[in-house]
Amino acid sequence: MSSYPDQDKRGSEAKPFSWNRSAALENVGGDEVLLDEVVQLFLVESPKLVTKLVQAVLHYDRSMLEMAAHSLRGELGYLAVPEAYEAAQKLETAGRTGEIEDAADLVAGLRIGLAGLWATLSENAGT
Amino acid sequence: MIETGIPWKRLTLEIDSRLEAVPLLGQVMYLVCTAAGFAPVEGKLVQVCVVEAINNSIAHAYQGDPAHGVELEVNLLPTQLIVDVWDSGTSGDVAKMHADHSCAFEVHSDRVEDISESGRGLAVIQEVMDSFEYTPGTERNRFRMIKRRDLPQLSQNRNLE
Repeated sequence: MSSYPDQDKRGSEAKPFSWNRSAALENVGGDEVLLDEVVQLFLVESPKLVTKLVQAVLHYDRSMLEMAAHSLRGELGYLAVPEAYEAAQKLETAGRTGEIEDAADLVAGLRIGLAGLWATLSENAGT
Repeated sequence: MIETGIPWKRLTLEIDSRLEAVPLLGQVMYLVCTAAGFAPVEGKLVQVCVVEAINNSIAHAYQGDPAHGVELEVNLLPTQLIVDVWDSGTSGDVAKMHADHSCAFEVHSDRVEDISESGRGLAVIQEVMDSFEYTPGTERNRFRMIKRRDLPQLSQNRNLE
């Protein structure tokens, strides 16, 4: 028997998400002020939602997982970060279908990806 | 006697203080957890906590400066997994670190700076790990996380899967 029981899920091939500011600006109709508001809202809300995702996985709470992922996906919609949006979408599905193990993997990858995104957005906030 | 199949009790790894380097340590942490008998879901959550702690060191102790080092030290005891994240940057506020961060689930403030500590990691760590402790030092700061190893119960759960 292998000492490593879960070889195929040894970790996400996760990397920090990159942000396409031009595409995000296009998504809000070229409104710089609105984009700044969207970014500020995301910086405030997304860490809370990630915490909720972790809590949902920890307690096998499918509905919390689905709701938090749905909210996160909604916030990512305007920001032009397709990898993050896709991860949130998969998490929402995992919540619906109860695939908690897959969800744990996705949350880990999402958290790693968001670190870079948060840093980038913080630097750009208000510019 | 608890048989883990792991030929080591202590593991140390060091990375540059760059966010891009963090995923590798996270993946190592997941492997360590599964090899130590934790369920995959628990391993993933511990991975998230380690990523949170390392990111905090990079963001707060080094203010994002990549020219430093962050060390991950893992000690595996029969009933505990002890994970230490070491940095040599600016020390954090111990009182803030050790405060109750559960409010991060329902933060009422809409100011980014108000949730910079609790919202970005400590609440997650407080939720997943059994305990954590921040110890600032004159040369190095240590962020310690402890997760209980309840191996008989884990084995029983696995048999039910």
